[in-house]
Amino acid sequence: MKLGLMDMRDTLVQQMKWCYDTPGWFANLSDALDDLTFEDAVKSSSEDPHTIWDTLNHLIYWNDRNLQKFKDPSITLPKVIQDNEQTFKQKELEKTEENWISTIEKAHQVFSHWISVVEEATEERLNSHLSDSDDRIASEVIAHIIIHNAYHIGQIVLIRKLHGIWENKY
Amino acid sequence: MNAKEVLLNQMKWSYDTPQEGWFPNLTDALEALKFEDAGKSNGDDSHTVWDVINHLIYWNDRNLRRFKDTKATLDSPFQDNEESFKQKELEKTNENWMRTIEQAHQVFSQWIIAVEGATGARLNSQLSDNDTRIASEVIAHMNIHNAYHIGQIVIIRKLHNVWKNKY
Repeated sequence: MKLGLMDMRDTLVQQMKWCYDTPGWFANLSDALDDLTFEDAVKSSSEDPHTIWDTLNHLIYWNDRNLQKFKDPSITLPKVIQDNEQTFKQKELEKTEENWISTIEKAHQVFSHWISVVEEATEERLNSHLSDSDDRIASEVIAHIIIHNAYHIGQIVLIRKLHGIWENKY
Repeated sequence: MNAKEVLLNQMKWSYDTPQEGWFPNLTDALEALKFEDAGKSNGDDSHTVWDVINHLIYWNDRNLRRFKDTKATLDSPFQDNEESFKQKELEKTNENWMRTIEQAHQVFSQWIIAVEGATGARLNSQLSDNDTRIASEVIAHMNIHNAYHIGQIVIIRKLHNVWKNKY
């Protein structure tokens, strides 16, 4: 029986679930991607160059990168992209339905994977460095990723509203 | 970090602490935003920046009052959450926009102070006498809900060409 403070790991896991697929106060990632065709995912406007697809690329890039480090602290990843803008654009990726489906799949994978990894992590792991070459504290990185994800999920929903392809529940 | 530190860090990052490139916080998102632009429609039924701020103030303030005074008796909540976005009685003037911004700053900074001063026992108890949700869970949910809407404010500003930023 735990006394006092709500467990730090539970807090992170609960927030990750609300952001990913557990119903809560706002449209989570699964809702935000529901019934979204690839034609709509690539729509942009002159005012905001980022499409939903771009935003999702950006989320996958950062979530996946940090997840790999958390899972395997000895990992060596390619140097971080110099300009964050590049994380939004997967230039080599042709805009086809097939590629859109696999992008959605990747997003689901990285979000669900993060949840299972944190669920199984000890507090000690969570309070150690993210990886050998990244000395940020893991729990701090995760706490930050969570609100960063929520920030962009809100944007995806808003972009859908602007394109008239959102059936509102929130 | 323990749970309280997680919650506090998230609140600070979302409110006014620079976060080295992660995303603009509320203070960035409201900076140099004129009332005309805050109230500008997006040409459809999606919310204006002003609407979104009203909504954030409403829910953050409501929960804060309960957290600070567990005996607080509040008006019954809006039947339709949509009403929390619209302060119909509020005229769209510069003065009212300034006051709205101030309220937003107040409620976000007050929340930080309240959580900083809270014991673990307080965070793990009911939000208030008549709200049985666990306080820390409500705060955890509020933090992601705030970030979600801050992201929307930034997009709406981009849409109206009143955003000059780096994220």
